[in-house]
Amino acid sequence: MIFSSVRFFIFLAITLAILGLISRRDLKKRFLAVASCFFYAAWDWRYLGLLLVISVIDYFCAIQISETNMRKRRKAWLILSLVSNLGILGWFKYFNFFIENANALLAQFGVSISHLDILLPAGISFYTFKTLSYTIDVYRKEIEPCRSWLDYATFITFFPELIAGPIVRGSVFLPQMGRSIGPTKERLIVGFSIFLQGFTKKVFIADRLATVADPIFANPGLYSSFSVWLGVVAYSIQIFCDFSGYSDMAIGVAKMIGYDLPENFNMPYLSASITEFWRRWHMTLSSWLKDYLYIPLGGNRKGRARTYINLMLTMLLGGLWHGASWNFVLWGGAHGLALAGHKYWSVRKGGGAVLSPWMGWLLTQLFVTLAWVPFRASSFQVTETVFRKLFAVGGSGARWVPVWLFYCIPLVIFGHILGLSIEKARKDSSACSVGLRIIKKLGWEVDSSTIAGPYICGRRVTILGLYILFVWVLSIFYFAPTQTSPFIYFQF
Amino acid sequence: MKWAIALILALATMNLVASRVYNMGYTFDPDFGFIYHPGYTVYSSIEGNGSAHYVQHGIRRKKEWNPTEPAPIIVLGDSFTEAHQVSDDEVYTDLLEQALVKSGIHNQVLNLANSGNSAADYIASAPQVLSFFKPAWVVVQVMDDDFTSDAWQIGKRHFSSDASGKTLKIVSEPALENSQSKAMFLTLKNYFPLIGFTQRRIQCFIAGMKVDAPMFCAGRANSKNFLRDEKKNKKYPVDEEINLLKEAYGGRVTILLISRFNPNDPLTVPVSEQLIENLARDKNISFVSSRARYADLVVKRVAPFGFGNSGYNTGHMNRCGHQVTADVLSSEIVRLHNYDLF
Repeated sequence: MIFSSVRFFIFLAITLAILGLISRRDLKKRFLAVASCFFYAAWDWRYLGLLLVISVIDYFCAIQISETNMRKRRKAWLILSLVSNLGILGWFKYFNFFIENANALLAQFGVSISHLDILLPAGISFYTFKTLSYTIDVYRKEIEPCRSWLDYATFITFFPELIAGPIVRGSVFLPQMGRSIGPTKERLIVGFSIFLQGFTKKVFIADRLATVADPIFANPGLYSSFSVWLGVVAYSIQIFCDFSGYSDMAIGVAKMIGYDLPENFNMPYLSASITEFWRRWHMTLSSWLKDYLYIPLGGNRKGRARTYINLMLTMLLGGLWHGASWNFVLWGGAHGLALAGHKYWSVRKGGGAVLSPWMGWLLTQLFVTLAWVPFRASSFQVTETVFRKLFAVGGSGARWVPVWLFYCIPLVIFGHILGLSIEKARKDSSACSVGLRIIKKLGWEVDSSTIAGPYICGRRVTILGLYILFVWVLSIFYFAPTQTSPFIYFQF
Repeated sequence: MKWAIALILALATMNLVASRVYNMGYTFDPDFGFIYHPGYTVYSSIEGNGSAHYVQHGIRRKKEWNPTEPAPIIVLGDSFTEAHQVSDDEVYTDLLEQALVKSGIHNQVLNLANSGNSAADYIASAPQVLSFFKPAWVVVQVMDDDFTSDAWQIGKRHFSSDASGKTLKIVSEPALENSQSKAMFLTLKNYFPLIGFTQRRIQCFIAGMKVDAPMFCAGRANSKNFLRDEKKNKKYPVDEEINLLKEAYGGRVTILLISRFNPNDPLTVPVSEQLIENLARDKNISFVSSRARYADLVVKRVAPFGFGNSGYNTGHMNRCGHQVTADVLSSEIVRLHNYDLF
């Protein structure tokens, strides 16, 4: 069930209605866990068992870790958790990739290993990282283990973020388990507003730009250099609006239910350096990689050379996490190199900015945009063709100027101006930018505790504020694509 | 109260928007069924950016049809000839008329295309077209599916074979008939296009849901591919359909095939198109294909289909597509004229 599909809206409405009707707290949680399982099984019921097995293993391992002080025993339970989680992930996601590469090496000896005919379980990369962080946090004594399997299962299967994040850690989610969940007027208003923003990003920008990027990446050799540039820029905006739109929708749905999920994006395309980009892009993944990979590898504590190596390793594995393909490794490697390079120049500059903010922004965006090429391309050959076209090596091609790009860019700029207004209000509650003033005039509210945009405030809202909301919702009904297109990050 | 006011204002705004993107303006013509009423202009901005002006009897044309002038050339077709994506002076029927005037042929070209039409419609409407317009010549625009899947689609006028499976007949759906309640609803929809647009959107959402991956087993089955394969394997009696078309217009017809465009291989003709061409030539029916000028498009690095707001080489014909179509068609019409066929 994709968040932008009619089926999901029916499912969400029924789930919220039943949660509102149930009065007992524990029953609400039980129902939520069942609804989440239904949501997951709606894709393919066969993998529901896998999800539940993982949750049982980690629940059990975490309790065993906490119940002993013997270091070796604690470590043994942790290793069991790591091996089972990474083993399952490796089997489903990377086994065929390794076979493919092994076959390429063994071809000269006439040996060939057959592929496994398996389907990648939806969201496996996300829920594996979620469960891993839980047992590691318990091992590090940063959190107490969850004593109720029901609570733990609700955390693992929580449907808004199950398939594509944000990657929620136990330390963030489990303390919320004591809350009385279920829809309230305030939760519905705030949650719906956030959901609506994400939905708009997905259907009005990402899906439109997919019609620009998809044909160009499907056959880059056909198009002229200019068209390929437009396609690459379109993809760059598409992936941001697709993934951040999904994250907003997940956060909005969770809010309607009564849980708070961490923010995942904070206007990454405003970053003036690659280091800043990774502080703003897929924040739950980058902080996960930092806390559970980069720092355990030694971080920046073991000398300069090791810092760069650790950065590279972290980003290479981060790239591989996205998908079993050398293209993702290339993408991760490029970001690793850029991060190491930025670190090197920052150190040389005594910790100061390497370039002027505008130059830094321009170079960062250029690098990030070009780095999306291997991320999007289906093979190394396509990556090579796109780069050849981008830099006009390889002759002419069809001229196609997709106008959607020129409609979508102002929308994205408008969103960023609004985002900056809200960010300003978060940092300084007395600040009042033009954007905020307009929002207040409409009688809308801004929740300064989150990055989320404005929402309707029932009491003070003006006719104009309501009119804009209705036109917005009706526009989605009348102009959104009627066939659902999957989110890009669902494939990971 | 303010919620109600805001909602009414929003609906009024959307009604205004709908009148620009969802075109109604239908009226019932006893000879031609539901047509755009005279003087109505259809605007299109979702795919391409065109405005189509309609004159009497559902003819898309800048100027009114003058029945006292020489017998017209009638062009029948589907949405590719209806061509709402381009303006009146860019559609190939208009370009054809201009080209014919330059060659000294002064027959008016009347565009009678209707979105969704197929070979079944062209054959069924032949008696009315011939008796009403008394055309000098008829052009029937087809795509490769207009003799196959599209012409056999239940829910609109379609071909059907009798119990023995040998004789072809044309089945008209009741939707084509007029009724008082339908006429009233149509009038209401003409005033409030948002009603029709809402109806259409709901239908689209239901259709969208049907092609979604199946519940609980998305990993195993791909319903879309399954349906496509099923259609692909079906055999259609294209030979008999072309015979019927020729008979319906007494042989005074040109089949205009709008060919699919492959920029990497513009001259190779797909099997489905080759079949239509071979059958038309075997039966001595005038035949032209837009493919004849596709090599020129490759040189110009453009495709005949697609717009900046849709996709390259997808959907309907753009200006270039209409231009090449007018070019091939005008050569054929001039040739026919030179043979004194009209």
